[in-house]
Parts: sequence; structure tokens; C-alpha cells
Amino acid sequence: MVERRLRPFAPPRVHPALGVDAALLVGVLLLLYALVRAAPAVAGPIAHAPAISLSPASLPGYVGLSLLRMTAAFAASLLFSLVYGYVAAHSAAAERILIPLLDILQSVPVLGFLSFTVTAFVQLAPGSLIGPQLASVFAIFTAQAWNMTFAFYHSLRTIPRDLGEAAALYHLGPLERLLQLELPAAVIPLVWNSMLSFGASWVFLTASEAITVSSHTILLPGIGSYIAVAIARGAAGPVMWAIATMLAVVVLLDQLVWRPLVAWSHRYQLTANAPTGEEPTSWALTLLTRSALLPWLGRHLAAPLERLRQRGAGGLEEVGPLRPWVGRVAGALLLLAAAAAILPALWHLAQAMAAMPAAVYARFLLATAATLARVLAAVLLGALWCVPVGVAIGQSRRLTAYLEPVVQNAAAFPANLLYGLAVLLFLRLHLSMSFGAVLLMMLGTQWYILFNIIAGTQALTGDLLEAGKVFGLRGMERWRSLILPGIFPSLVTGGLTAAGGAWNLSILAEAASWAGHRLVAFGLGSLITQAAGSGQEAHLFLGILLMSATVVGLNAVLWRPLYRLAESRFHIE
Amino acid sequence: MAQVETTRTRATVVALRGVSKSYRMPGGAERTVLSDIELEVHEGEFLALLGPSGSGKSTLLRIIAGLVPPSEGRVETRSVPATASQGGVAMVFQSFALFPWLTVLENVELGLRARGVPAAERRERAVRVIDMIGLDGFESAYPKELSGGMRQRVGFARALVVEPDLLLLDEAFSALDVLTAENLRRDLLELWLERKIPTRAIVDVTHSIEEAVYMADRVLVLRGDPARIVADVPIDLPHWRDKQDPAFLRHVDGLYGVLTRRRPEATAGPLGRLRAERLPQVPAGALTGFIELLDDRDGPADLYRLGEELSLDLEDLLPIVEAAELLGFARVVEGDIALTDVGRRFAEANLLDRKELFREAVEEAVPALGRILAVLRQKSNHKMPREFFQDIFERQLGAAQASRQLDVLIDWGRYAELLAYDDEVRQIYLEEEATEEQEGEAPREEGGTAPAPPDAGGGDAP
Repeated sequence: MVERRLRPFAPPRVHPALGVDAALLVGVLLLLYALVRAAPAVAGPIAHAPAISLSPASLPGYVGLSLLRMTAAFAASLLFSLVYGYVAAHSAAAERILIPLLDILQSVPVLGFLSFTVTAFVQLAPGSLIGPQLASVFAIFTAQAWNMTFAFYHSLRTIPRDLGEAAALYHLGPLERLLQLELPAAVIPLVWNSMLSFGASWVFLTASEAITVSSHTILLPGIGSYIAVAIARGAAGPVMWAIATMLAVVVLLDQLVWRPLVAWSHRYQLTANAPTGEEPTSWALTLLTRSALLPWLGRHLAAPLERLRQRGAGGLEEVGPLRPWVGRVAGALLLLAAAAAILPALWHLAQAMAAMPAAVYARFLLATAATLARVLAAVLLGALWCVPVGVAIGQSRRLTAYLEPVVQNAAAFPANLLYGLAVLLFLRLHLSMSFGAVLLMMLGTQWYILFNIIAGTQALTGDLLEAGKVFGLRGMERWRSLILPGIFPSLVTGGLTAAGGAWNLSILAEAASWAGHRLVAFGLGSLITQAAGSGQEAHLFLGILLMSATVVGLNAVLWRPLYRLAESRFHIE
Repeated sequence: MAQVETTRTRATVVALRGVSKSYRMPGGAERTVLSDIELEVHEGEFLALLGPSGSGKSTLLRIIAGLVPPSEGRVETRSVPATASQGGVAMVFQSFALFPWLTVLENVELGLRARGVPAAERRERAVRVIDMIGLDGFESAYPKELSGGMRQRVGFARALVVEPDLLLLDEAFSALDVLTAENLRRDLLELWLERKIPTRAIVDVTHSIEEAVYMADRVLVLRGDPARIVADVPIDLPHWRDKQDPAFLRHVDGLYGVLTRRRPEATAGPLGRLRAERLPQVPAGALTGFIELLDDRDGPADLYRLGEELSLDLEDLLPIVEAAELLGFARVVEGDIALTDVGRRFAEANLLDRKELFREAVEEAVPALGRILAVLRQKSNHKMPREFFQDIFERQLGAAQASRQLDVLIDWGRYAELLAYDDEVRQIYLEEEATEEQEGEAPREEGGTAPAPPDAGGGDAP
């Protein structure tokens, strides 16, 4: 009787489809081929870097190289967030330093730093393309890592108490605990934040592939440099090609990577806090389950891995948890090393900044005010159209089902690819860049407001909307007493995300060009761009410092109070 | 209990010696939740730990399990002659605590995996336990596909597969519906009584008196702040027990009596200082309803039956009873509750008189409210932010408890029309009318001193 049950635990069999396996194989081969082709363009010397070809036929290759950078950065981000989040969640001493540090890192406008990091990385491998490559990967990394780290850290801290106790009672060692409890519990937030961070980092990729350092432009072959060259030459055709390609890439990644991941991650839902919603589905994942190759690979890879894991678990168990002083000493050493590396540079910069005339400071402060006004205007204008449209979409299940993915893809699309065409338009319309920059920021950030509003409205539907109907709420009254308070928390979240994006984009949006024409708006973003282009380190540093401080300050005086208000007054149970 | 070995002294599976547990509050003060616990669990014993919510019984269980270290005292696990048991402790959780991403089989295998049991043996043992606990056929299901009762069966299987010396149940049946819980209780009892599992002792933390009397050989009652063991009651009825049996009901009533006995330390406390008390968390409205209900019955009511009739858990019923006693509206004697004279007058009064009676009662019984009023009166604008009191209470009770206590105080103060509270600005202030009355010092005067508000009419009359 026991034997009968010892074997058949395999999941229900689905008809294997040969086509799926064939597609998988072709995909893997194509990937390998692209990697081999790409090698010289990745690591060759700068001097012999191939010129960017504007032929549409070369776009797929460029996209492949760009994707390679994105993937490398994503792998680094994932590794970083797992290690950083794990340490922060497991050591109280480390937590006190790591979490506030992460908060600050999050507020630094990394785009402004690009020229710094490029210089630093070029020094690592002088004359080789590796330096700029690493700088580009690093820029993307900084756009992805912080969010993902917070997500992992947060899910480690909020593992339900009794699941943790069960793990402790059954003597799961640190490794088993990580594999059986902590990683599975973090899968959903990690997948979601990976998807959002990956989308948000396209801007950084495209911006970092064509970078001017001390009046010298380095072009890394990729879709970002392709469009940069096309804009510089005023070639509208290739610009359109690049935009269309980018759009296709975003949509394909969504369909082939992120949707399947989201659908797959659903099984890791902690039932305790499961929202009552439909299960996410993905046609690609459904197809993959019909592959015969994958289960075969799984069987042949799983057994050795399992043996390895058993041995690893036993070994770790013997070592036991780290003594607290080990962590403290390591932390202190790390801090010392960081200080030794950073302090001399800071001292140098501080001297240069002290030497700057007061007029420079005044100009920078004024520029900060100008950019602050633009960021707020971009958020307000965005909210102005996103609130009614988002509410309209969110109230209809059907519209939401169609449009939510569209909006998410729009948010992932790097808006700066459109800046060249926008400049062309502004030139035709004689629109001042002071105002135009606001539109350019909106182009990249309004989507965050829109999809938060849609989600917020969905949460509203049901009882509350019906109650509104029963009491005959109509028109303005309905908006004032039902809808606006109901979506307020989502509006705050959307606004905060949009503002964060707008600050970063200001560095690109306040100085954009088309062919020979360059439109510049007076603001912190354009000052940072100018300082980076002309190698004025002290100016650049002052600009970044001001921007970071403003972001942190704005969080404290505007967004956090709004959050509190949203939580205390407008929270829907 | 079927095979009690009364003749020879039984081995101890686990013993707690002088165990106390304190937590450090954010303000720096210490709060003791368990004090001086002496407890032995014997071989072959089914022990129930009974107590109202917040009495520290779950903390005690976690100390036994080794999940929480005691602040004082020690936990002894004396080794007894080897049996088939693998040793150790296992626990079944109120919330099941299953890993949602693992199948039933994988969940059950979890405890064995960490002990390095080889895969084949692991599977075989897990399948055997799954069979025994009645989960046959669900091996490859995920927890979310199962009903609550089936999920808890997985919880039991996961605990039993490691063949623990000591099985701990943390309110294991309380998240299930009545019938399912009863079914599972019987199944566990059968495994235990017929020695189908090598477990040497079971400790069941519960707030159901009936469950304790039905299953346990001995019931320990935990009460007070900090909690102590206030009663140690052997249940010497043979299994299977009949819930209608007079002896069974006597035990139930007796335990109700122990649980509702007025606590002596509630009245203590230095005068003149604002001291946080532990008031039962009952809104004035619920209390009023309860008293009306008691008034409708003639004579004392049996608490156990009352709870059943109202389908109120002990968890829910006890605070209300406690509040009624605290305010002097009712008295409990040996598991029976009856209204006092004041209680009866309260039940039959109109809304205004009720408020008057309530006001007198809280002023008498809740010194903390009096201190809050005194603080408000000293202020020229008669207002104080809630945070001020929250801070004071927090140092003694911790943030969450302080906030709940303040909520109760505010609710009672509002009902008594002694104070008012604006949640938007989080300000507590004196009720204007109440102020005048206070200054006039005429609380004894009965009957409407103010014109009746429009909603004071009918409806509320008993």
C-alpha cells in the first residue's frame, strides 16, 4: 500500500508540445550566437570602437548589447539586494547603518554621477571599452538595486511570526531557512520590484551609452548610442526605428519574461495576506509547462543540487550562527575602508567648493528652485489628467484588463528616447524650454500616477461605490466625498514615485537637442549636465548635493506628512 | 485517562523552575508578563493551560518550546529512558503556520529534512503519518487548496512526523469551526489514548474551558498581571468524557469560577499618580447590552451556558464579565453571574440616569480616568493631546497595550459624558456640561439635570 503511493507525486501530465522545445532551443542558440558576436564590442579598446551604424539592420545587434548590459546590471542588483537585505535583516547593528544609508542612496540622482563613475571606471581599465561598459552597468545597477533591496529586506522582516517559529522548532539551519522560508516568502515582492526597477532603468541604460566626459563623447554600441547619434545627425528615420524597436523590446520582455514570472510567483503567496484577486496568468508560462525539455533538465539538475544542499546544510549547521562580535568587527572594518576611500576625495571637493564664489552658489540655489517648480508642476499636471482618466479606467473591469498592461509598459519605456523628436516639435512651435522641460519630465513620470490611480480605484469598487449609488451621490459631490478621498493614498504613492523619477529626468530633460539645435532650460538639471560635460567637478558635486538634499527635504516636508494623512484619514480597511 | 500509572512516580518530561518573563518597554521600563512559574509536565500527561487572552499562556508555551528564553528561572528537560520517540518538541499553531509554497507532503517532510533523514525514509515516514492523520490522497495538494480543518491536519502531521517527546498545541483548534474542531479533537485524543503516537506528553494552550475539561488530565489556570498559575485542577474523569455528565459540568463551572474571580491586585496602586490600569477592553455600549441581557433573565445565570447561548468565546465573554464586575454592576459567584442592585437600577434606568450611574461607577472604580480628568481641569483650555497620556501609559504597558487602554478609557469617559475626544486632532478635552457639574460637585443628584436630547427617548428602555 505504501509502495503504491511512493511514486506518483508528479504533477498532472500535460501533452508535451515539440514546438515549445524547438522554440526554446532556437532561442538559446540565438543568444549564444549574439554573445559571441558581441564580445569584441564589449571589451575592445576605446580607440578602435566601431562607429555606430544608423542602418536599421544593425538595431537588433545593438538591442542585444543593451540587453546584455541590463542583464548584467540586473544580476548584480539581485545579488546585491539578497546580500544587503539579508545582512540588514539579520543583524541589528548592521541594520542601523544599512537602512538609513539605503534611504540616502535612493535619493541621489545617479544620472548626474555618470561622468564621475565613467572616469573612475576608465581608470580601472585604461584605454579599454570595459571601463565605460562597467560605468554603464553601474548606472543601471543604481537604478535597480535600491528598490529590490528594500523589497527583500522588508519581506524578511515581515515573515509571519509563526512560520519563523515553525522553522526554528524543526531546526532549519540558516541555509535551509533561507531556501525553504526566506527566499520563497520574498519571491513575490522581489519579482514585482524587479519588474518595476528593470523598467525604470531603461532610461539609465540609454543615457549611459552615450556619455560626454570632459568634452569627449564615448559611445558604447547599443540602442542608446544609436539614437544619440541619430539625434545628433538629425536623422528622423533612424530615430523612429529606434523608438519602435524599443517599444517592441519592452512589450516582448513584458510578455516573455515578466508576465510569466509574475504568474509563476503567485504560488509563493503567503495565504495570510492574500488579496482577493484573480490569479495572474501568462500564455508564455502556460506554453512552457508543455515543454518536455525543461522537466528533463530539472530532473537531472535537481538531484545533484539536492545532494549538495544536504551537505551544505549539514556543514552550516555545524558552524552555527555568527557570533555577534564578528559582525561588528566586520562592519567597523568596512566603514573604515569606505571612509579611507571617500574622505580624501571629499576633502578635495570641499576645498574646491569653498573656493567657489558666492555668485555660483546663488545661481545653483536659484536653479534648484526652478527645477523644484518644474518637478512639482510635472506631478500636478500629470495628476490633473491621470486622476479622471485613471478613475474612469479603474471603474471598469474590462478597461482595466486591457489598459493596465499598456500603462505599465508605457512606464517602462525610456522617455528620453522621445526627447529628440520633442525638441524638434518645440522648435517648430517656438515653445520655451522652461516649459517644455516640464512636458519632457511628464512624458516619463505620469504613468506612475496613472497606474496607481487605476489600482486605487479598483480597490474602491464594490461596497463603497454601491453605497455612493444608493445615497444618490452625483457629480461634484460624488468626487468630493467618495472618489477623491478613496484614491488619495494611491495618489500620494503615485505622486511620490513620479516626483522621484522627475528629479532624475530633469538632468536629461532640461538640456535636450536635435541635430545642431540645443534647447536648455535654466535649472539644476541643466547645470549638472553642463558641469559634467565640461569637467567642473566642484560644480557637479554641488549640483548633486543640492538635488539629493532637496529630494530628501521634500520627502520630509511634503510626502511623509501626506503619507501619514493618507494612512490615518483615508485608509480603507 | 485510561492508563494512568498512579502506583509509581512518573518521569518528568519537562519542568519549569521559577520561570519569569519580562519585556523591556520602549520607555525603558520593564513589564513582567509571567511571574514565578513552577510547572512539571509528567510522562503520559495531557496538560491544558487555560487563561484569558493576554494572560501570557502563549509566551509560556514558547518558553517550554525553547523559542523564547525565560528572563529568570530555568527549563529542565530531563531525559527519560529511551523509547521509540525521537525526542524533541513539536508545536501545532493556531494559524497552522504551513509553508504555502510547499505541498502537503513537503510540509510534513520539513521537520525530517532538517534532521538529515535520508530522502527515501523521509518520504515513507511522512506518508505514514499523512495516512494516520486522515490526509490520504492530499499529498500533492498545496495548503491553500485545503479547508481549514484539513490544513490543521497537515499541521498535526508535520508535528507528529518528528515523533516528539512533547507535543505543544497553541490554540490549535480555535481557528476552526465548531464541528471541525470537535472532530479533530476526537481524532487527536484517539491517537493519544490508544498510544498510536510515541509522544510522551501534550501541553494544550487554550481558552476553551470545555476543551480543557474534555481532553486534559490536569488543567492549569493562568491569571493576573503578571500572570501566575492560580489553579491546578486534576480532571479525574475517565475517557471518553460526556459533556452532559454532571461531574463534567461541575469541573467546567469550577474553572469558570476560578477564571472570573475578582483579582485582588486590581484595586492596588498609589493614589495621586497617573497609573495605567489594565481595564477589560469592552466598549460601554457592549457592556450596557450585556447588563440589559442579564436583567432580562431572572436570577443568576450560569456563565458557561450564557457563553454558549450568546455563542461567545471565553475570550470575548470574560472581558465583559470583568468590566461588569469592575464597575460593580454584577457579581460572579462560582461560575454564576448576577446583577447587583446598582446593576439592576442601571438596566432599568433611562439613558440619562444610566449615564449618571455609569459616571459614578467609573469614578469609583477607575482611578486612571479621574487622574486624566484632573490633568484636563488643570489646563486653562481643558485640552490635552492624546499623545501625552499615551506616553505615560506606554512606559508601563508598551505602545499597543497603552493605546488600547486609552481607547477604553476614552470610550468609557465619553459614555459617562466626562470627557470628549477629537480623533482628527487627537485631543482629549473636558465635556463642557460635565465640567459644570463637576465644579458644582453635584453628582449624587439623580434625574435629568439637562433637557433630554432628542435621541434619549424610547428604544433603550429594557
